[in-house]
Amino acid sequence: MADRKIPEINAGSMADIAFLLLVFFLVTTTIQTDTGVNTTLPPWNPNKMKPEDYPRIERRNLFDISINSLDKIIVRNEPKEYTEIKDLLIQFTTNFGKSEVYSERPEVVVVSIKNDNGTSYNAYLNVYNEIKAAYNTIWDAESDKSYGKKFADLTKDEKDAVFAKFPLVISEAEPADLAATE
Amino acid sequence: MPIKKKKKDPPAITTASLPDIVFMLLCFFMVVTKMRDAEVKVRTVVPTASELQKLEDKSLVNHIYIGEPAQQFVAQFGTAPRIQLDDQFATPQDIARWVASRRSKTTPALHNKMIAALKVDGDVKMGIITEVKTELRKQNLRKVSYIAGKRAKSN
Repeated sequence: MADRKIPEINAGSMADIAFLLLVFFLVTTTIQTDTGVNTTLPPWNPNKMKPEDYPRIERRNLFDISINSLDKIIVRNEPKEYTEIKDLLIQFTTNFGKSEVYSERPEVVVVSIKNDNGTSYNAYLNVYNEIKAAYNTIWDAESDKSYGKKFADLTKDEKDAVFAKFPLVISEAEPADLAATE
Repeated sequence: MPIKKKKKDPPAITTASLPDIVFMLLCFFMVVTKMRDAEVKVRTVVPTASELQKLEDKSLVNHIYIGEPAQQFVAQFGTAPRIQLDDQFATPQDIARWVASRRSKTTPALHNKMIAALKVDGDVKMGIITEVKTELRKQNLRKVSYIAGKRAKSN
């Protein structure tokens, strides 16, 4: 009775447990990826353009937005909040010549952002985001109409066709020191 | 006389040390894995946006941080917003060199897929950001992403 041997505990499955832990952590660990609003900057032209070489844009096809150093926004000469831009831009772009004050055709629309050196990044990105939101809505509607699919599910050619119908042209003016008025 | 083979079980190989080996592996990976490639020395509270895209390929993303220097650097660098490239404070003029060094680390075929991720504090003024954007245009690094947090779509 006194010297009975203790049976050896089988440790073979410990390895399995450890591997299970290892795999669990490998699978669940996601290195945080950043998200952002993507854009492509215009190419740098070392030669200053002469004013007579500027492309001519008709007033009614230009959706110009100015943001001053107090983050106040002027859209087509009227003070607006950034939350109003999306609906206004959708209406402006998808006008197809119906209204005199909005664009003639979506293909000729140019969105212009002019900001001050003192504009906060928050205000700028809010405006930029709204422009993107407006066009994402337009593209979604168009792809639903033409292909019956979501825009994100389209093939590259189909996307290009949608882009060709509703191109997003953003022109960013060199920032000036705009007058700081409320 | 034939040699009589003794029927004897081979001794069981002890697997008790296998967990130790696996744990060693686990520890090794935990220690070696680096989550972030640069210590962020500026404070960046990024704005929020709704039209976000994920930056998928980490190796093509190049971070530029702009914001006020963190608490421990205020004495040295003041509170005016500064640019941080890799893990150093920089000026817009340093961007040309920085882009060149980043390009030299990637294959030429991927050069036009490189993205500059601007991680900028929401309260920074646009003046400094425009300078950075102009420098990036000069270096023909034209894919830019404004890093932002998620928020619900307006209306």
